[in-house]
Amino acid sequence: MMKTYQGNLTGMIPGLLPGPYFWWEAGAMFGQLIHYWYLTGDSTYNQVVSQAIQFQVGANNDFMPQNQTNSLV
Amino acid sequence: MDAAELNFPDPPPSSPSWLSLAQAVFNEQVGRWDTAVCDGGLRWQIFPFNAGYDYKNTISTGGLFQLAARLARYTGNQTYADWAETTYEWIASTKILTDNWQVWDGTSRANNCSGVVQTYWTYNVGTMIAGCSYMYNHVSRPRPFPFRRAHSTFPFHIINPSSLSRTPHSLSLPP
Repeated sequence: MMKTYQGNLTGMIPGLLPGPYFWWEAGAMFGQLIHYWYLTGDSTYNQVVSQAIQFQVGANNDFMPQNQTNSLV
Repeated sequence: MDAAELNFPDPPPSSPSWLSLAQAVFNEQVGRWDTAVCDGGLRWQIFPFNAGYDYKNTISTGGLFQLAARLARYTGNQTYADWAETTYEWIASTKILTDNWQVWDGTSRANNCSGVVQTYWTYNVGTMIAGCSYMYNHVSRPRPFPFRRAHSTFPFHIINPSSLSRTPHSLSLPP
């Protein structure tokens, strides 16, 4: 799963999965990674997850970033 | 909410907390609660020109139900608990949630919100189970403020896994 996610690489957009995956699938993934850390104590992915979530909060901190809101049209 | 509830490491002080992000999402969503059509519920779409704007569906409304329940449990704030009840009661009153605990997909303004789209998706059931579970956990804990409901038990039936195993399409996912 983490091989599919490239948002933490230089020049990529944190918090998004490459196509054809949608925003809700990325969200589900990051939620599960939080659970992974909680259940295993393995913090390997924590910084990547934290960066990803924070990058997508949008101007009003409500996860309505313009790039996704535009894609809902 | 996962991050807040599980004490995921905080973002830097200059960034909003996990809780405040969840609260902002809640505020964004309740701002869209529209009682003029179908007496409530959240639409599947936010833009009026999108297909499906007339559709008030379970995953949108149920998502708010779950979020409200989790915020109620996490903060103890009655406003969130009230919204959990409001969203649940809308889902039940429209018969999206049936009397025998079936969870259908939504209802449309096109049929005056009288008919239910009887499509079964596990994510709808999932969000209802989650919301009910969080609310049950919330109301069963001693709290200093009074509850609006005379009884504080949400349906147990909906969280009984054996009722799911007999359902067809139990592994179906939405497109």
